[in-house]
Amino acid sequence: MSFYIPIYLGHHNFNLLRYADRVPVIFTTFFAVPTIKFHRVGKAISGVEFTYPPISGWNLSHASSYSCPFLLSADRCIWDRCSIPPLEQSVFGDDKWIALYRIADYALSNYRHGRGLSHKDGLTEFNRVDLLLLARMSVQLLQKNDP
Amino acid sequence: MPSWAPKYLSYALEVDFKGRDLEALLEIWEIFLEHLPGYSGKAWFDVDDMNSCVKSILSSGKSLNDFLSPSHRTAKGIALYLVM
Repeated sequence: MSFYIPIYLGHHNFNLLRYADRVPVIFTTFFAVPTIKFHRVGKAISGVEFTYPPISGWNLSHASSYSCPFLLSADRCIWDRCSIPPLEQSVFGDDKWIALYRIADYALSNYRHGRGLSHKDGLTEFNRVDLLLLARMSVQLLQKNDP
Repeated sequence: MPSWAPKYLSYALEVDFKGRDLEALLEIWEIFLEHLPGYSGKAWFDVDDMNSCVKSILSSGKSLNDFLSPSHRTAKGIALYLVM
């Protein structure tokens, strides 16, 4: 896969975020909320697939590698502008997507560097917060579907 | 690169090029991306142009994936590096 655009978008991210209302296509393409498909065997869910209709062949790893450079270097004050449409409708408009992407990116970077799960530094505080948010959401979802 | 170049590029990206023409367009696109970090903050570089370029690629029906990977140019660069 390519890290070409993330690097260049990364350099450019401050401007893109500041002028988000002028670059809606960038946000609806590269930072679109994924479509989730559940694969079922009988009643049980056997797998989950993330697809990104604007870009065929994209999956969670592509999407998170594009979004995370933005998240790392974005100025906090920029997020106060999340109410503007292109940002609000993108993955940046929802804490849960951001948490999922950060966890996916963390897992993928460990995999790429061959660190595995027993990496000596362990999980960072950010990872823990993200995981807790996702776990809470999953439990709520299960309770809702199977009370 | 003068200010009209990114605007012109967004029009070129809209054309349904094939074969060698598409190859040439991809090379120009990659040169544009290589210089993108330097454009940031320059008075003549308009963020709207970046938006138009991606919009043109999508509306032309070309595969966006082709425009996201460091294709032949990088391969050429690596080949030169290995030879020299």
